[in-house]
Amino acid sequence: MFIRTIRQTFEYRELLLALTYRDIKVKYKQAMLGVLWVFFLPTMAIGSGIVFRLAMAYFSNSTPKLVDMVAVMVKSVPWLLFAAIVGGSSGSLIGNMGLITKVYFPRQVVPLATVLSALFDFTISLTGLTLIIILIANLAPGGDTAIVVTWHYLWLPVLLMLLVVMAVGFGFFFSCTNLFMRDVRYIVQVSLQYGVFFSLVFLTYEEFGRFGHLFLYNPVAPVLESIRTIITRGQINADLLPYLVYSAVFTICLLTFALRFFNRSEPLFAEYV
Amino acid sequence: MPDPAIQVDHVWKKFRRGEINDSMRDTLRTMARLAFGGSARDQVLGDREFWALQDVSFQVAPGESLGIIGPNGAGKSTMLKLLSRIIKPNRGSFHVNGRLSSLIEIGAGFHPDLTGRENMYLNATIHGMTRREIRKREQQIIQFADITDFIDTPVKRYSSGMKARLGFSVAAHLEPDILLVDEVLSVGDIRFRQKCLGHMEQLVKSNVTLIFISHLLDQVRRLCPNTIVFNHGRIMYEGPTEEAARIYIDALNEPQDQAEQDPDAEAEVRNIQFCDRDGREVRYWKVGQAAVIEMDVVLRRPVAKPSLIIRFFDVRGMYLGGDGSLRSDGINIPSDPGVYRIRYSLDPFPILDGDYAVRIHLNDEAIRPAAAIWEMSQPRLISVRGGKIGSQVVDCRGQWEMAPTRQAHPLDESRPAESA
Repeated sequence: MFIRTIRQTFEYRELLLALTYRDIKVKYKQAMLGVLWVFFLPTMAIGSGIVFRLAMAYFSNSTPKLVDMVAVMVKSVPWLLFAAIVGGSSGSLIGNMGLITKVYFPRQVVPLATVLSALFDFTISLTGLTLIIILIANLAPGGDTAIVVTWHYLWLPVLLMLLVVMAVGFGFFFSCTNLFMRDVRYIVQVSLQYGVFFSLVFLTYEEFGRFGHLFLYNPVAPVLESIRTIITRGQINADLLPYLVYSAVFTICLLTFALRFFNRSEPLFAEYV
Repeated sequence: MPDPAIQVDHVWKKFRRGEINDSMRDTLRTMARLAFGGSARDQVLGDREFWALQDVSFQVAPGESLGIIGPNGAGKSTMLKLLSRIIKPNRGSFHVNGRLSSLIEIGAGFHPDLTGRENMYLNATIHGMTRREIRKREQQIIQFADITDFIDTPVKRYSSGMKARLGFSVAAHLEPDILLVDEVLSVGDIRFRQKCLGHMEQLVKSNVTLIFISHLLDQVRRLCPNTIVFNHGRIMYEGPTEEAARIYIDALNEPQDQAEQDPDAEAEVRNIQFCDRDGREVRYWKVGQAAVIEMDVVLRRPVAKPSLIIRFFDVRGMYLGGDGSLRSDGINIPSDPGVYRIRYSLDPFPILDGDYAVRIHLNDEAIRPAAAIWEMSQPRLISVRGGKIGSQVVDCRGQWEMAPTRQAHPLDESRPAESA
């Protein structure tokens, strides 16, 4: 099933790239901010995260720590990637109904194009983020905010990959479901909007003490928390590892199920849109 | 014999009337079935379902061009959607040999914010062309569409004709082995339509396998020697286009006769027959011969000034001409209740080969403004055949001769080449 999907997608790679190009192009055309759009969303997310942390520090009568701000940054940007893929894919089949009812092509190309254009945005904001982190590391060396590159940093691409695959799984499932029930897309949008608080984007599991691990049953949270601990502590917290395995297993099951569901309902797409 | 380009074996396809899934429970059940097992392609007819295609089989040889005609809702477009793999059959199978392109709706997927050129690339890619192939034909496509000046303008600023031209032009340059065409040649102005039709003829000559759906019989005649007639989801006839057109027209004429038997109407016209000069009922008129229509006018109540009106239209709905029975040298149909047999003859029928729609209605001229007291619920169709001068509608054969040479007018030289 995986192999067939990948082979078909490869056969239609020109179409995949053309649709991605269209998505990107359309987003930046006739827009006031133009390319600055890429930075707008991360800036807003990080900004609200920082305000949140400052407020927390104020209420607990402690001095705000730079490391917490860094944590917000390194978790917000991957989270936005996740949200862009899941949210974008959910509406993608409906958004392209003109194509689906008129021309044949393997339908997975449509949500995958959304994934690629989200990755395009992510690459740019990741570059920006990296520059900022390097800047911070150089401005405030030593102490508890030390950012030291270790070989554990090699986990980062793996974790990001896991996050993307999970997002693709959700995206495939919701894009399909949205054809049958049109409100799925809005449910997904709202969930993503408030999911920030349930996925430990601004907070950390340690801050919840005994109940912290409950958050880690949200499969996105262990990934984000692992990314954070790598950057701020140089390695993944040992107690995160079982949850990370759980996330990985969840992702594999989700993707298998979503692909199966997608492939089986694919012949019905043109009748349901 | 070479492998057929398209082979269709006993294909069945069902659709559902009304909302597909109208309750959440229904929807969830469908989704669960899709996700966990059981075949989604049920073979029996469920609640509110109907067969859009029933047991359809045919094959098309490579290089052949096949027409598909049939009344609305006969299953033509469903067949094309199946062949282009947009939907799947519930039963049966089909096999396609070669690269297939379908023009179901040209310009599908045009994005309003992208320019003509960007859309051209996108659209051609969607239809399976590679970037290199597109780049090679870019100029050809733009020139054919005749929008060179606007190719870098967003498509949302295009007129509908420009969009259609660009769409067709992309489609026309796909170079598939098999081309499926559904009613797309009705876009643009006459000049562009002619260009499209000419292009299709070229394709047919260059050995592309063509399946062509149209309601315009003259286009089907021009492109396809053989035609399939669909009716109620079944193949009604398969064979030479001439015979197919005749059967199609009969199929269109068929249901209306029962519909018009309203025993309470104050007046009605029935038993309408198309005849030749000798009063024999015919299925088509011959060019240059008499066209005779006979009918019974039934008056159940007195009608002061009954008047029969017969009007002719071409298949596109253009009014060609007509006549009324009350004209100075017409007849006066009696006003008393009764059944009167009326004959209308037009000798010779003034129009050449083609298919025509005939509308008849009965007026009471004593009422002002004249109102129809009876009219046909749908027009009757009749063909005219046997003209030896191609597909002309009007006989334009004139006299040709050498005229005395004329001194060139001084204006002829200074006038620009294109004065139109």
